[in-house]
Amino acid sequence: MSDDQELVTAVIARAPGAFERLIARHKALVWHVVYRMVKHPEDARELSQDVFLRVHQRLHQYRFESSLATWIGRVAFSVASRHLQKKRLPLAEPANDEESDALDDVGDGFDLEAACADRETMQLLNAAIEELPPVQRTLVTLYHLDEMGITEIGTITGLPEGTVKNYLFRARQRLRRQLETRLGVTA
Amino acid sequence: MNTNDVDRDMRLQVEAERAEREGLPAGRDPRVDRYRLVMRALRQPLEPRLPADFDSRVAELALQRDGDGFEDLLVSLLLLAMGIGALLFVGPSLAKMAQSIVNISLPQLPWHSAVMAGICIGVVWAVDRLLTLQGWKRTHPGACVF
Repeated sequence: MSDDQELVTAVIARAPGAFERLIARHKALVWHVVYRMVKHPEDARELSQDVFLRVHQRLHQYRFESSLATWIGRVAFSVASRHLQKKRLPLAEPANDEESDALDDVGDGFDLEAACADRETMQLLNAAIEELPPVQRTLVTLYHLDEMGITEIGTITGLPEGTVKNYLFRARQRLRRQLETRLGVTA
Repeated sequence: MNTNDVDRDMRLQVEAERAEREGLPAGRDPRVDRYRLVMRALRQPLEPRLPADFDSRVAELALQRDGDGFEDLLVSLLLLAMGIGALLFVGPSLAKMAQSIVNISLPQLPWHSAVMAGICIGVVWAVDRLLTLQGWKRTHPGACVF
């Protein structure tokens, strides 16, 4: 029996401590999805709680067709999306192909390790991540921080794989542009 | 942005991802290095985080809700039984009362019907008080514990 199956069976059987173990195992993922989507810490905490209560209530519907993490991530994404829709906030922005840059001209001596150690640069990048539209912000976090694959991310968000790849590409490109503006790199 | 720019950026992103995964030294291509920096920023843990006692409190709340469901079922069954019992006892009186309403005249209203109605209201009030005193009745079912 896999880890997921064992845990799910224990939670459904109301084994002592089982649901707490499930929360401990998946709370980081839920927090990443919900916080990245809604951005507001108080709302995100409340919604994360809602996600787990919903998981507890509906765990018997989980059919092991995907990993438990993917299934829980999907619940989290759906709860957070509904919250944004209720507030009439846009989830993603339409693709914009008009922007252009001339990266070929760049031939500066950029020092990766020095930039990484520079607090201001990292703060700027974090602020730029916060400014991404909710879905893009969530996708880059699931991909880079949670190290999830494109297929899993597609299952969680209900987006086609091509769209996930496109959003990831554009988000990283936008962040790179912001970084270059900050560094004063000639575009 | 033209197709060449998109292709070039895609290639740079793939290279940056591979360089990060394999821990390759930086400095070969500043364009790749800038994407590597973006990827490092994206791998940083999120701040703020969930409270340390999140797991235990939410687990407790979930179990409490399980219990609430069972209690709700018991209360519903009790109320249903009381309703059926009341109908059996009060049924004949209700029939009499309906007859007397046809010939309405306030002083002739059957006094025992009024007493039965009073008893019903009293029982409902007592059950409600009992549930409240035992702490079974939820005041804010969806309230956040944080």
